Amino acid sequence: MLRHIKEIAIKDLRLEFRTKSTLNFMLLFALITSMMFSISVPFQSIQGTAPGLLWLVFLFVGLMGFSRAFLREVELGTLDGLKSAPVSPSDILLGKVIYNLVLVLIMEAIIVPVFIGLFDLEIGNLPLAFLVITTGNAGFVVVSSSLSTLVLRARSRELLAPLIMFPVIYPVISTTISGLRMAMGGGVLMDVKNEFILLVSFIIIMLIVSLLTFEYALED
Amino acid sequence: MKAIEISNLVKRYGNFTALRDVSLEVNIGDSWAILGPNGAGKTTLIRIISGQAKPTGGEVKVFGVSSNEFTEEIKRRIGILSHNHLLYEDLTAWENLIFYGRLYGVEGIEDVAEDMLRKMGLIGRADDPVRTFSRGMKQKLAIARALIHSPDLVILDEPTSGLDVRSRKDLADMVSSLKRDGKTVLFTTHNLEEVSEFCSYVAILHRGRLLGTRRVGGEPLEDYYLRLVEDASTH
Repeated sequence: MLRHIKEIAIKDLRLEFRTKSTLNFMLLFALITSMMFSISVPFQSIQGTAPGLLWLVFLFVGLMGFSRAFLREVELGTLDGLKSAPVSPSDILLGKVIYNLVLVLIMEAIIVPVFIGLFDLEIGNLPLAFLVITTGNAGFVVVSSSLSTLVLRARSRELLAPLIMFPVIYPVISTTISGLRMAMGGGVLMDVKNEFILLVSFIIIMLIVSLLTFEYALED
Repeated sequence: MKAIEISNLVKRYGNFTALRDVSLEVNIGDSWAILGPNGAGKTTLIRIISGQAKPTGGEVKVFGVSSNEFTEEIKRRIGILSHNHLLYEDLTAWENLIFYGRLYGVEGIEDVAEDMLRKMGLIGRADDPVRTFSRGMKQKLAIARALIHSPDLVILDEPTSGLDVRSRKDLADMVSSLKRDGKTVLFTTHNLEEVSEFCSYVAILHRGRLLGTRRVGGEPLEDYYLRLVEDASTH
């Protein structure tokens, strides 16, 4: 139900903006990584490697940050409150997905301009680049939000979550980098049509699988 | 229709069996204590009744609906007060009640939340984050959270643990008030004294087995409990 999804997402955003525990960490980590790349990658080769490096920044922060939405509920013990409330597991998952999407949009709005500035990048089609990054991140968010529940009861869950996510999101990584390279080269929407079809299909399939299996992932 | 019907309930976690062949019936309006030591399976039983966990075998029905098919309507009729208070520490008392109230679809939630906070004596701290509250204040807010939607079945899972004398008295008053209002109350405890204080019936749970049930009164509860545990150990 849309009302439940909205309430869960708003509650998570309110908690995050109040404590900034995940957002500050993600931004700081993204800035440090971007600066490390900027001083270690030769200037001549930056235009070719930039799409991969930029996505690597999002990958690092996403692998650690997106799973926090569920891990925080487990640490606080409030996941039981959501499970006993008249809320379907799908509503809980979609609420977390929307929360993570907002986080990633904030990240993009800050990190992409910083990255462009640090590397003095020439982006042929900036709106398309943003669209590709956002679509790729949406796929990443769907996968990480649902898979993070599989490790909720594991002892080393923070370490385990990236390990199980990486193989699943590999298609997103390779497709987004390819699309981003074309957008940076001045390509138009039609040039990245195949990448978009692949990314959107991936998101839809993963979302359906997640919604179908999430109830079991939440069980004791 | 019964408030709770449990038949041949089994719950396993891997090789560990938390509940073995548990059967129990609770009438609407009754107040029951589930008495047992730590590790007896009380919380597991509560988690299944409240829809947080699914049984491995057997069946649990709440107001006639199987726990495997719990609808939102059934969950709306259950309120749970866990030993974990289920509150968001960085949200204010007000925000916690509004959040849960909206999840439960409470109409006029702002008025209901204000009324609840006033009843619990927390209205002056409504806008303070829960992490600044004492244990007793958190427990009062947890009670308000559990009752925000006026549930017909109230489940209290070891609610007195860590409470001071005053908060314990408030809790006892709250349970009495629920019983007067005709609510069904299910209360877990490992404390014999609390059984007669809070409930009319008792079920003895030991190592995942339900050893016996009876009305409170008559034979001293301690003797009854020890006799059942001894019988279970010898058989």
